[in-house]
Amino acid sequence: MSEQNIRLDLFDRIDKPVNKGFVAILALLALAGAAAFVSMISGEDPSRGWIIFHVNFLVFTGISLGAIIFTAAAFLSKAGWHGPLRRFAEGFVFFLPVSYLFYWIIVLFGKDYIFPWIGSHDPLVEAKRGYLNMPFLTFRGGFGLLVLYVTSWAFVRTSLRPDLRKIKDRLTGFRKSMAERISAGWRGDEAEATALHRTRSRLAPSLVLIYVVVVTILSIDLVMSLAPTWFSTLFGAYFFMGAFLSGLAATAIATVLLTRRYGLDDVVTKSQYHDLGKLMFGFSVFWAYLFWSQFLVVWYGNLPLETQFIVVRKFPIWQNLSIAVFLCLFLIPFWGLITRFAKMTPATHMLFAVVISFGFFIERFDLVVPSLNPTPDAFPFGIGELLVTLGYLSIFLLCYIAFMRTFPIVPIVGLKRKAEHASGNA
Amino acid sequence: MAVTAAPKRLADVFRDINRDILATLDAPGPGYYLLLAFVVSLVGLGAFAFTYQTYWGLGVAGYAPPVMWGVYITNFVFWVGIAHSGTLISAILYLFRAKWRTSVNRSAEAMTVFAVMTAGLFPMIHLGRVWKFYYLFPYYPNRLTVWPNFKSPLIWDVFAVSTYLTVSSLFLFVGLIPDVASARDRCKDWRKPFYTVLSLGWQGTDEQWRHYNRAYLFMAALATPLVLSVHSVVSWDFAVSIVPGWHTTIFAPYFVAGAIFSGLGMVITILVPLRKLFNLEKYITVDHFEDMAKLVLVTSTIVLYAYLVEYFTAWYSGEAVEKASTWWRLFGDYWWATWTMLICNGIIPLLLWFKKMRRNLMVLFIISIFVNIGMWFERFVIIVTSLAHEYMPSMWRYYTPSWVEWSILIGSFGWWAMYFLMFIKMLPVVSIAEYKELMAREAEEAHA
Repeated sequence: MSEQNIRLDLFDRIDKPVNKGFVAILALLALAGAAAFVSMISGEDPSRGWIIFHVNFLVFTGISLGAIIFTAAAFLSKAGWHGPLRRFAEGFVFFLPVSYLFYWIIVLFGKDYIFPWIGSHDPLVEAKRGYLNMPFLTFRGGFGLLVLYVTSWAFVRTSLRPDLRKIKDRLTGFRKSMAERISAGWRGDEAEATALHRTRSRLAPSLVLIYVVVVTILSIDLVMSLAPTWFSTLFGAYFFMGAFLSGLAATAIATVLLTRRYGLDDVVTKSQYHDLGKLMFGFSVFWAYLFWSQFLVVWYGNLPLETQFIVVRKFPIWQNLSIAVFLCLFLIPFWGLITRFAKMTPATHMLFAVVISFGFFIERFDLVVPSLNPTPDAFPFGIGELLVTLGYLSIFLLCYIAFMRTFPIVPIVGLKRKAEHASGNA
Repeated sequence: MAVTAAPKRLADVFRDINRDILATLDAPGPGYYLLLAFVVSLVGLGAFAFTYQTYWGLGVAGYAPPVMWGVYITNFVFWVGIAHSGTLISAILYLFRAKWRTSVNRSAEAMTVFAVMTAGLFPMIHLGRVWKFYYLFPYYPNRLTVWPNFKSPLIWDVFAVSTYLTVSSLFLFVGLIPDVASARDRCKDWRKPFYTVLSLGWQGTDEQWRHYNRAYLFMAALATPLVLSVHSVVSWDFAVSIVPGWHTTIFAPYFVAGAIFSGLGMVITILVPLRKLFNLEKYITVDHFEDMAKLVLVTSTIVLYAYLVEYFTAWYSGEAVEKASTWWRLFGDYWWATWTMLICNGIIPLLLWFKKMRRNLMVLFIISIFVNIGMWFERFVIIVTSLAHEYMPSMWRYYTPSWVEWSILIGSFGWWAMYFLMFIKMLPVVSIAEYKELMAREAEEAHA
């Protein structure tokens, strides 16, 4: 923890204004999405509006959390290579307040369209009434997410603090006030570095544990309970590991795009792409493993209560979607990312990250929609759904851009001095 | 100045490493032979019990319907689990570039191979008519079209465990090549031909090193999915049935985490005394133990998570049988086994949240013993309590293992320890080549 590498030169490079046209388009799309959502829920079939809102809530919350958990996991395992990528992943933290708001919108206003057990009198549902009731669900989700989001922000804050301390004099306006606030009470470089490391060492494992617990509960409440008599012990783990994978993929996309825009090739080197690619590859295989572990046991046991979930997703209208999920989250990235070349070339790296992210969206769609609407007349994805999804994406990106405008997009303090690991086993 | 000093110092370091580690191969003292005699006598006890059982039939074990899988299958799963740390440390941690693995991977790998050898015995012991063991291999029954049932997870098990034995032995032997060559060059006694064969003509040329590193990387990459798959397949022996308490989707990852947990527990149990006896404090440091302790904590948390999710889902499912089975497991006749498991695996390892505890070897040693006990009981609880309390109340029954089963369990520990004791005197317990590489790399980093 001796003298740290301070790269003020990086700050000059990344201090570029944002493309106003792009932001305007995103804002328009967000408005269009909001309008589409309002017209859907006030139209003749409000449930479709609520369902797509719910799906997107799960997708973008999952991505944001997955990316932040990646930084915590990398910190815990002392993965020095992730330093330059850290901020790209941390940026998703700005979506969390929005996600929290959307959670309340769902449980307060959308509950009758989302939770089929509310009016159900099935004896199996009655048996779990002690858990599946609206007050308890609202409370545990609202409280759990709050704790999770606050911890996430606290963890990201510890990462920002030393950087903002160094650059705050060069900032103006809102950025300056944020920097002042976050770096307030500085105790001197040496003492601060030790103290920050201590805080991070405590926050990181807590954050991972809270993530696991809260997202497991969320997976049961917001997804498993949509098929109220279905249950699977692995589902929680499957759900949060999927979100972790999507966080990696989103980080990869952000890394490629931002590195290119700001000319950071000397900071984010090939070996970073290689390592991130390996992680995406590995967790995509791991996703397939969890999928298979769950599928095999249910298929082999062949108990109606358990197979109902899979049977619906094999209905003709859903079958191709289910296959596409498997292709996008496993088979395509598996064969695509298997070579070192594909992992290290930004274009292919990003291509497969996009495939994984898209796969993650259709996976969450496939987990939610067939439970609520098992036999629709036509595939329930029309222009309204598209607009809501794009609106969500725009809000998500706007939050990310806001973060990247407020804070430096690469760590200024504490990057390793050289391209540190000569890929140990090349 | 610094440039010339570095290689010299490194050469000294290398010489010390050779000397210290190869010193473990020197002629053992009387204590070693005493210990060896003790473990061999345990094997004798197990062999006696097994002979007795073979003569009188499987009735001398505590088996009675509905509990037809008992301590033997528990032992099988337990030992396969123990076998997981070796490949975790040598393959997965290698891919993750966790440097600390270097000092412990050799002993973990050796332990793995011996644990698989122990585990492999139990399906045969469990057969009763052990002379029919070859029916386990699909070739023979298929030729006779007796039982070509590839849908049975028991057959998957045969494939998984034999593949695992093959790959983990290969891994051990490939890793040994450069070290055995060092031992060969230094050895003057009867072991020299043995080392000569194992070192496969190793001369340490650049070409050989290049191929060697390549081979090691590929084996690590191939062994990693294998580690996950082996215990997953073992878990499916249970999970694909519809026995309440067995049929649950989380079993595969939960078994894998449990296996790694128990394997690391065993590695700590053997390394704490080993390091002391062989004066390897310089090579297997407290830092390494702390890293292992962290992994123990992680896997313990996963296992605890799985327990809680299982209990919750049993209630959440709303199914009477599932609920009753779980309730009985926790508060029924076998409550003592279940709570032993919960406390040893879920509660005691929580101590490792404290850095002081992770760095105190005595505490770590004691915790690791509890981990071993807890993981044996976990398998016992899963297998026995589920079978003893299935769907039909008229078929509920309390199973107690007989002296034959206990003796064979004790014998299996002797059998495994016997191999391990022989190993520590025949082969270097710390990887010399990898340790040197680590030293060299650290020196390089310090200069850069």
